[in-house]
Amino acid sequence: MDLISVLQFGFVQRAFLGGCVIGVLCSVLGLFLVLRKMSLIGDGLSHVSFGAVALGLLANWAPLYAALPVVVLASLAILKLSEKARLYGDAAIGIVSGLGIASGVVLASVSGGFNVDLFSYLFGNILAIGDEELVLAVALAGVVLVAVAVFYNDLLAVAFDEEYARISGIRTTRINMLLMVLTAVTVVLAIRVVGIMLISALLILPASTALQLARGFKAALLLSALAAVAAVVAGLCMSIVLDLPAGGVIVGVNFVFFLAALGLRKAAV
Amino acid sequence: MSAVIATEELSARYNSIDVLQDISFEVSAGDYIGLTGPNGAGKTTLIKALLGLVPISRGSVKLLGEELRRFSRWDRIGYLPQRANFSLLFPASVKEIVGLGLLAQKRTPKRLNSSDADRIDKALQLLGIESLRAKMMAELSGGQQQRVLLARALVVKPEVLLLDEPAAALDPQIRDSFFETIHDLNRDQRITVLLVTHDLGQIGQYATKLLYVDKRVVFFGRFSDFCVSAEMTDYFGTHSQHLICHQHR
Repeated sequence: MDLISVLQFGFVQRAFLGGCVIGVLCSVLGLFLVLRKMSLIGDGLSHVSFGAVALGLLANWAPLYAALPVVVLASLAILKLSEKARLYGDAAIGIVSGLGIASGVVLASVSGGFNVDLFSYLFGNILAIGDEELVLAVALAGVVLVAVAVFYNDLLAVAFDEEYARISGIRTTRINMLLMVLTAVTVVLAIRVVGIMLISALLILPASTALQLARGFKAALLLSALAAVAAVVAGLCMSIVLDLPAGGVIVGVNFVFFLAALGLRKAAV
Repeated sequence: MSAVIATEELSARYNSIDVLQDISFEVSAGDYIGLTGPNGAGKTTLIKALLGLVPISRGSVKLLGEELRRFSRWDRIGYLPQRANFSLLFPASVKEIVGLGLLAQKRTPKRLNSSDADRIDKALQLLGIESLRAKMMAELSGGQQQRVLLARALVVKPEVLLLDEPAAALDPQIRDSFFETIHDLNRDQRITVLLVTHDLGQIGQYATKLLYVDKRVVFFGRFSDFCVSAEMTDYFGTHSQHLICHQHR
């Protein structure tokens, strides 16, 4: 397929723009999550979004609008469960994640089984991003990135040493809630790019790539974002040329970047 | 003049077990207190209770004359934890980590400026580790990491420094130099020090007062009083008391 001529299409341009914006979001938040050993929160919240999307499809609501409040609430539930219920964070994620999948399966069954729409959310369809979704993604991405910029040092301090952050006067509970809510919004936005099944890879892989090479936290954020954008662009181009599913190829390219970064680090030692 | 740290009948429970019982003491400005006691005596819990990091079941804590629950001037307090909770994978440079200590003085959005960069450099110079400025934590030895975390505590120029077994992971030569550094900070900059240690003998070389706890306060007072206390002779035995006091300056 001629890549240059395909790039003239509006839906392809929207895919590139939306993919890059969401890739940057995932890579930035992913770095904080990976360093706090909370990487699997993306997996848990994406499973919740499966239930929420199924609910949206059953009720004939726009699935992403239905998913947004549900996933935000689920992120806060995970936080509260791990704080109040004498549970480790991974168990809290597992509980909420399981509930999300279970409700999705039940709702899909009630609506007559898994249909094409639900599958498109499971595996993503970046080329189907509409104008309205793109505007929503860019607007929410702006909100998330501004929040990260404003609370950058608070997020960094809590990620490095939460106890010390508390005695530095940082309201760590609020910062944890902020990170959860921003992650929830990002997970919902990423559904279209790689699908529910692969969102956690988009959160974890660019950050892990950056951690192999970065010297300094700002450098890690920049490298993570660059890796994510490069993977989206390369992955989309490859998926168009080779006629393969974009979500899977984007994650595959991210993994190749990670291996390359790992190799570079080993070679430098 | 009011005490910089004051506790009154402070008690703390953990899993229904009393970890601290009725702890009352006062620390004056410029004091160097050695906080010690046997394993499980509640030393770390006491330090954390003073900082509001563990809940207290009874009693009160005042920092710099203010009730702990209302205390907000964290820039006047420096803290070096027993074990820093950071991962060696963390991609932050020494400069970035020391800069985190300045956040206690900042309002949202907490931005560091060029004068903050100078303060970071001064804190690193004070501890003789300015050459490590651009290094990553994973590249440093245990002693260097401990100094970086001490620089993080000192960068705000605190009036009070709480140190929880700061030398536990250091080899003997570095440990002596570390204790000298703390001693100099107390003597030259009049920073009040409360230092937790297992090594009663070593702390006797530096501290002006001893706070010995075993869930409750066993002894609190000047080292010179400790050395002539018949009660402490009964508690420790003549030989141990002599060994501890022999090293006191």
